[in-house]
Amino acid sequence: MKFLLEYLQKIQNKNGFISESDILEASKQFQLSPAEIFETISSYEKFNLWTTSEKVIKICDSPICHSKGGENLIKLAEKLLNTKIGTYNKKFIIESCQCLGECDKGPVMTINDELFTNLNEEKLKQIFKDQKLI
Amino acid sequence: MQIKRKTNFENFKVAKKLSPEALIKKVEKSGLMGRGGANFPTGLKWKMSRPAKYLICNADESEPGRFKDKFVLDNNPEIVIEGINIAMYALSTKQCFFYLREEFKKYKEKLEKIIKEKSKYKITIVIGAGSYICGEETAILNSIEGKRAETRHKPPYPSERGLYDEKTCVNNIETLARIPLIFEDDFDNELTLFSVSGDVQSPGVYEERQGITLKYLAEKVGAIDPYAIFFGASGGCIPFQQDLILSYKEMEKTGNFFQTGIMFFNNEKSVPDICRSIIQFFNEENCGKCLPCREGNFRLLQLFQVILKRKWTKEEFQIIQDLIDFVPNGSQCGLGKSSTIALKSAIKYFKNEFDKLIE
Ligand code: SF4
Ligand code: FES
Repeated sequence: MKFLLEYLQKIQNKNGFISESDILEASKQFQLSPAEIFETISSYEKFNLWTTSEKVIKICDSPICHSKGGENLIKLAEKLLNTKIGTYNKKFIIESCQCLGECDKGPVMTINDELFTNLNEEKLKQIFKDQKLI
Repeated sequence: MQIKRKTNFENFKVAKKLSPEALIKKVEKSGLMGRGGANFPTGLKWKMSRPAKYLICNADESEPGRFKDKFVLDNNPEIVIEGINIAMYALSTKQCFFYLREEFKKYKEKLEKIIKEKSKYKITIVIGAGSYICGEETAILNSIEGKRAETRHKPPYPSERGLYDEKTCVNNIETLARIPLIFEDDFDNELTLFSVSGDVQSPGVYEERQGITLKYLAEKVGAIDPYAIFFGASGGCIPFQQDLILSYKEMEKTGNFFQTGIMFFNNEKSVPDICRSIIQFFNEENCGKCLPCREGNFRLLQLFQVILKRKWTKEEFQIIQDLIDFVPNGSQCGLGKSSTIALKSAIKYFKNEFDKLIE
């Protein structure tokens, strides 16, 4: 059995995004139209259609993290990195995300696949320093 | 905790001494209810699905405030694999898909090792790609088939026509973890994993009987000045009430849905602000298929962003109230239907907080 999601994940993990030629190749392999492959890609958060930043910072803004200051952390991150949420640059991008299933350790964020828990302003600054973001 | 009990697959051996029919009867008699949230009797689901071509173990947990699937994966993945083996025998199934949310991909290796060493059946790990809706029992089918993360119309239910159009049984991971326990003398079908978070001293996962009071839970977790309780994002909210009984039946009386993700908020927190975060959640996570759910939640979010700058006009607040009914009435699946429950109950029980936000 061949799984389209798994196939796309491999490309996504390797290249950071799925290109037009990847879509055409997938369409051949799975005997689906390119439009159908695109339909799938566009419906999942983890797939990108273009290259993304080296470091993707996702800060949880679901209820628990939100109520424990998640939203302020997003604002602080914007200030520290002198950018706006969702604005791409080669080095980093800040995004808000939905519950990561770590609510007992909220507020939480991820940088690429690494999880950071029990955040506060000080901790966020330190992590950004450690990650050589500031 | 029963769910942490170590297993040697002894209960699978005992189960196999029964015929599949007798085994399903035993599960029915045990009274075990599905732990995914819908509270459907597991034995009945098995009876309806049998003979199932596929079994799906659903570990796509992404409901805010719920993190018990991860707890099972951390603490006792063996018992899940044993439960899957028992289920596959009962359902006469040859293939199981174990669906993990993307954030859980780190468990893949550990699970595959247990499967290789212990499982008598074929279990394939499938990893999601970031979509809350895939936890719904028909969207998960689409996702495994490589299609868009959208729900399917029901009926047909997966038990009739599911994965690749074949009879399929979809069970939550906690449900499957409890299957081997049915064979133990002290099995208790009320035992449930509660995920507790928010303003409490000891957030985490607790195994408790359904039917405990909120007071009992609040004391146990060290709730700090409890004021508002939200049951996940989709269960609704109530003011903290000591004597509230945590069970499906009792909660229905309050107009809320029982959810085992229990979020405590103290009186420094603003209920409308929590609602804004919930609306944002549904706005991002709906699959976009039904207009009322897609556009309604978007409009609600816009209206909730207004209060960051100024108060609502009376008309704006009226639109919010209209949308609270419009969205669920025109929505196909559980996500849309439950997306305004929290807001509706919040306005009902915390009216004074909302009144302050209207001109
Ligand atoms: S109700 Fe919402 S999530 Fe459900 S099918 Fe419709 S648009 Fe999708
Ligand atoms: S609310 Fe942030 S991890 Fe659940």
